[in-house]
Amino acid sequence: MGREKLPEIPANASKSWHEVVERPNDLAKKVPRTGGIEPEKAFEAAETIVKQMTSDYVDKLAEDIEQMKRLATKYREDNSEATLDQLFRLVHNMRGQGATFGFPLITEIGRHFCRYVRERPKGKAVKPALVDQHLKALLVVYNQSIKGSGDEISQAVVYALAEVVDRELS
Amino acid sequence: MSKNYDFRNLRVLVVDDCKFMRGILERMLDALGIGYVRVAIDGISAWDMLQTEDFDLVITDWEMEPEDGATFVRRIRLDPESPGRYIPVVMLTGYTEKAKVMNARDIGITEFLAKPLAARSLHARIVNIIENPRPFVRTTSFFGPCRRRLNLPSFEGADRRAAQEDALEI
Repeated sequence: MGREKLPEIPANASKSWHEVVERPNDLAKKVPRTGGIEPEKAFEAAETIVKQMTSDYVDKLAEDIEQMKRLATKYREDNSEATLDQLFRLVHNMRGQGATFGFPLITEIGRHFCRYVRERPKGKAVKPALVDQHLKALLVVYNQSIKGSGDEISQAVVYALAEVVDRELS
Repeated sequence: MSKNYDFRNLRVLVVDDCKFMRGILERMLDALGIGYVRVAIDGISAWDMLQTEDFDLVITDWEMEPEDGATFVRRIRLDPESPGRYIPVVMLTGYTEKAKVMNARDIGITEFLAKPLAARSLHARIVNIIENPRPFVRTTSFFGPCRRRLNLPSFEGADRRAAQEDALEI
């Protein structure tokens, strides 16, 4: 790679000033279009890896939910931004992993929670009761091992959470 | 018929604070035939690794501590001491909100990939970087790959499954 200078902005640059930097396509030289693994075979192998890791994921989900319980309790006691930030980071990671392993409801519940924490109006505190509601919904998905989009009841629960969050954000 | 890209010479740096995600990414990249993968736990350790090793591609999460993915990408693009100002960066994140995607675009990412993680979409992003490199653009407020042609997710409804690869003109 090596260090390369950042193109300088002229002192008299107007708002519309711009400089286009064309680069040689070094990666194309490094990556031949032939000789590698057939993509469909690679995707199959990757799917197998995901399947193999699913039981590890479920174990991790259990740990994450336990951690969320602890943090939710702590948040109820201290109402601190630091605890809330820990909760956010935990749930944000859960959100990223859920659908990868066939649990899109985890992703969906996590999405509503993250939206609630990060997009709430300035000065408006996150309600511990709403943290608990998200936690309970995640627990149901875990305890009942609800894969895919779930049944009507679980979808209704997620929809209700989304509505509550919408109300809190408005 | 899709090409059998030979990724053996490709050197990839994965940055994610979640050990579990790092593990699955490493294994997925291995399944795709990527020859060399290293991992870092946040922007600071990734920056240190860029100082001592050459990489062809960075895949980074957004939410990390102490240095998040956005700050890390900004340093790559703008820091006078950047060892890889032009390195392609894939932002892999649980975020799917339009504002976040636009923010990622404006800090100079090359590709955006929303979780859930799927080998097919990861492969598509890597191939796009190789086959359709974008020139870099310097303006008074931006430095990074040209923003007019970036694969972005659509923003309808909830988190999308990864198979959608529609490129939007923005």
